[in-house]
Amino acid sequence: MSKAIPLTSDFMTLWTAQWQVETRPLYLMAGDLVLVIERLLHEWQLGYSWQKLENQGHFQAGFELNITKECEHLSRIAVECTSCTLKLIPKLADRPVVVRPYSPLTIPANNKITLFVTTPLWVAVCLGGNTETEFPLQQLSETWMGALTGQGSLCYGSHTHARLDKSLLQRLPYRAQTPVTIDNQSAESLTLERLSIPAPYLSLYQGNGQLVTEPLYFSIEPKNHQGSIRIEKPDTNQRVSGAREKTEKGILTSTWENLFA
Amino acid sequence: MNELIPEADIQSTISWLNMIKAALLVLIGWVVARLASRFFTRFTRFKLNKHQLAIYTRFIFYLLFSLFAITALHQLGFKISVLLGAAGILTVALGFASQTSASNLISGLFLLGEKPFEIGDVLKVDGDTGEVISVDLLSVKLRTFDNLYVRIPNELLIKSKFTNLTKFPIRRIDLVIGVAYRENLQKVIQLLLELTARDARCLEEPQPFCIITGFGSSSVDLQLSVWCRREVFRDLKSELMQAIKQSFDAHGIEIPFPHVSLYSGSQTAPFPVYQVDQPGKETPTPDGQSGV
Repeated sequence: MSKAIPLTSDFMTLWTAQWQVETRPLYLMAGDLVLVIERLLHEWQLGYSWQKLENQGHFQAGFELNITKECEHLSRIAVECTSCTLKLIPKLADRPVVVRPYSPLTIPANNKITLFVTTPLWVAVCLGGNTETEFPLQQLSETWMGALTGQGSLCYGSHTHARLDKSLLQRLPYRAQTPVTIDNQSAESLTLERLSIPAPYLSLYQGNGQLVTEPLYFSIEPKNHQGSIRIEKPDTNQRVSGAREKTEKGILTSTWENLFA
Repeated sequence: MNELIPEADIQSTISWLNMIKAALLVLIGWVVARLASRFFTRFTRFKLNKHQLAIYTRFIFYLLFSLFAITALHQLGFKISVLLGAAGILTVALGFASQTSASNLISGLFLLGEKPFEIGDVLKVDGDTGEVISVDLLSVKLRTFDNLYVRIPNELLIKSKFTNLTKFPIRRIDLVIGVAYRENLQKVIQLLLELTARDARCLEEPQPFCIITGFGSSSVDLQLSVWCRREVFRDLKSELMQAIKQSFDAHGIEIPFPHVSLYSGSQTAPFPVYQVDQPGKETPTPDGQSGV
């Protein structure tokens, strides 16, 4: 029976533990999410709410957490008979995430840079069998990525510091880190105002104190207004969860406006 | 004479037999066509959308059924070439008699080709708004949100204007808000934009905006425009209006209702106004008389 409260430093405990839920409810406070999982004879009750905490979000789980605030929403899952074990699995967003640097970043012509961006995580509560339900750890606003309001895709919006120095990165256990290499092959400098991270095509891996995804390689060819993303191999092999969608040969091609602006 | 009777009997027997065979062929054709269209639906339901599925299923059914029907006619002794010739003459005759139906039929084919909407889309036609439940050769059927069945002839859809409310994934909510002339408009605009920033359903891009649209008779009119997913359009619109009212109340911003200023002219004395403190009690009037 896992009762330990995972700390930020040993964040993997949360994702690797098999939680034994008997009579007491399991509490999870991660990011802005407060989740209370209660087991009854024929149903699971999942109470949840979000408290906007920006970058100083929670990261705790256990049976002894003192949660006084009433959960705003309640989800009931009825099953023939509940099993006492459950697992929490981290996942990436189910839609692309458009990250905006807090201030625009200029990439000169014929230049290649690598920046580090983080995207919010989802938690999938696996209640045995095929019963699984998901919650985002941070409530994200929605945004549209495309040149026209009729052409493009619906994405989640998020902000990033777009750090170029890995050592300056703040380790946030409720966000996943993605190294992004941008190769500006054009003869013009480009100003990066927003970047679409294809989260549904990425897997999550255990990094050094942080969940990481495969590195992305953006190449920008403004001549034909096409950009392509190559999903590269990660540095680590410790995969925590797989991609939601598969892509052929790990390459995504789209119009420039749909990837980068 | 006696020799002819058995021959007629035989012909009669064959004719009855052929009729039974033809009826069986039609019946089998109907069953086979139905089964084939069902199988097609089962195997392609995840690959095709509802609209395509309905068209292809119908096409398969009618194709197979017509083949069996033609074979049945052949069984009865009809010559297909003669039938087709007769059908040509019949078509001309029918064409004159059923111009409206023919027009609807052709309009239906154009609609199928143009695909301005699909099954499941929400259309607004002539004041009726509803979900498309079927697209047929003669008409389109809508189910309105108050659960009424509306049949719209295809010809009408080709000729007149209609709006597809679900063609694009995102929509814009335009709210017209009036505030009193004395209010600080910059503060009002800031408050409205903050409200949209707080709601995760309001899209970040395209950005929400707020503009002053005019000086009304009783208020300064503003327009707040916010983009959202089409699924949340109605709820978000209602909740935004509620949030605006609450926010304005909290910040003491007045939403004025139509005002009328009475002016008696510069040369005339002001209108006499009497104040009544409590009902039933006498209130002194300016001339010293008591009034109620």
